Amino acid sequence: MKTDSKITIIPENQKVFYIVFFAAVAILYILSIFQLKLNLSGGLSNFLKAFEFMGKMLNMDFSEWKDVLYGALESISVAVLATIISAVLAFFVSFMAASNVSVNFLTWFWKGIAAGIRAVPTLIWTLIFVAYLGLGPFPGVLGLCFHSFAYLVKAFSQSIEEVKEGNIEALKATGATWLQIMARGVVPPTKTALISWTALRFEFNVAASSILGLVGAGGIGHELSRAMRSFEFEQAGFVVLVIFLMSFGIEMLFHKLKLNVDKRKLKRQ
Amino acid sequence: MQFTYIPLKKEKSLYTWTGVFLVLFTAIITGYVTQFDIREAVIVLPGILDFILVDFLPPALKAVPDFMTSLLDTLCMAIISTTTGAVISMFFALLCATPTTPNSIVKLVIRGFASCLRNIPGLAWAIIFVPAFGIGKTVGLLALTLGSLGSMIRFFTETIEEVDPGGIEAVRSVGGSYWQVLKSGVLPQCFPGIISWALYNLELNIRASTIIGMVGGGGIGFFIQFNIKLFRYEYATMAIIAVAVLVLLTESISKKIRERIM
Repeated sequence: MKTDSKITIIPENQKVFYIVFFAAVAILYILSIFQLKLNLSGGLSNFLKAFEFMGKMLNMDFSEWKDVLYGALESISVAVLATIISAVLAFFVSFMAASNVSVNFLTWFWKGIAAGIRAVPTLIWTLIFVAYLGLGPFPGVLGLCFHSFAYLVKAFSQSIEEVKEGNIEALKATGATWLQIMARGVVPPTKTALISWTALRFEFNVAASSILGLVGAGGIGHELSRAMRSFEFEQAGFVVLVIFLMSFGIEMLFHKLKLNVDKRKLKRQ
Repeated sequence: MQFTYIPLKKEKSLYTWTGVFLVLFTAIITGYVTQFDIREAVIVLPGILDFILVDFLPPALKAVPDFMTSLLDTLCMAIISTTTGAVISMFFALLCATPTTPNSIVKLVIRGFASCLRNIPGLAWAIIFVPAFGIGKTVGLLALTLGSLGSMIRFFTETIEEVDPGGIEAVRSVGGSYWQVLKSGVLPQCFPGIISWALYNLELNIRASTIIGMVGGGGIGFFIQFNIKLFRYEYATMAIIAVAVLVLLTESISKKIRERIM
């Protein structure tokens, strides 16, 4: 062993990769700036204006509290209902979509549908439903359901696929039917994961439902866009506060209930 | 060896039924608030599918040149906001994470700041900025950057807090300064995690930047909403498909990079 050899902290081949990666990011960043042709000449005055408006927003006006709180209730209800419906539907479908307990044809079919729905953002689904059904919370619920369903089918079927082959094998050996295998071998070990995924999705749905109103699907988002459109910054400030409290409250609640799914799973998808 | 038969407990099924009942009860209450009628939903569903399949298909290929620029704008907005957000978040996360924080007050302030940013959706930020900056890309960029700051500060902080304390201790024990601890003890270990979170955030931002156009943030969202309002559904479909392709493409690229670094 040579005495002057260094123990590198980052392996040599990783180092090259990092350099290439960061260089690529820097080039993309500069190209993007050129592409957007950002015009920052009026930037400072606009920023000052933004701060002035935000200052006005901090000076909250509670006079419309009835409408705002009803909007918040409506938003939360939309989120809850969409989560319940989509979770129930996804629960049944995910058994068809999980490759270890289903047949190939069904797996491909449902996974394909889920991937297709998921690739289109929630708000665009809602926009389509609003175009068909008109304004109100009803298209909001359906739009949220659609996307949550696809998301949960993927998450649930992944959890089911993580069930140990031995569980299923053991039950099969005793002559259990498919339903019995599901009820005794597959559901119990995945139960916690399913609940956590649903909770995670609920958190997301609350955030989404609070902005659905911006495309005409009712709820507190509608109050926000109404207040901003008529330049009632003081009222908008109160609406933003309520949106923040809704989302913060649910984050805290789930933190207390320890329902927080390991969010790292998300990025492994 | 003894085999015991474990019967299903009675109380357990009681729990299950209470749960089912509670869920049903909530569903009914929320259904009342939102005037959601499940029968109506079942009735309109075929209509919706028909609407999607007949009115939105086939996608109009001739719309592609019209939205190519806005699609590219959307991608660029996502790249700029994620990168800017990641650099700023890294700075804040180092100030906020337990092993590297200068003191606990700074930590608390940054936590609160990140929580505020995180819990107000990006779209709401966009609406707030529109009156000051006017409709355009600046609004989209600012809203996306602020939104990503909130979540990235949190994720980066968690990543730094999970760094193996052994590495930090090793550098400290040979007399390393604060900067040397950062450089050799903390950063090399958390790079993979941080890049991975940033890529995840890029995916989120691409989705978000497509819809931020709907409230005046520039990009392809405006094109989609505009065409739906004009009943040119085939045009909107083409743009939606383009968005889906962009989303799937980013997902697969970032998956490749993640596999390479993890």
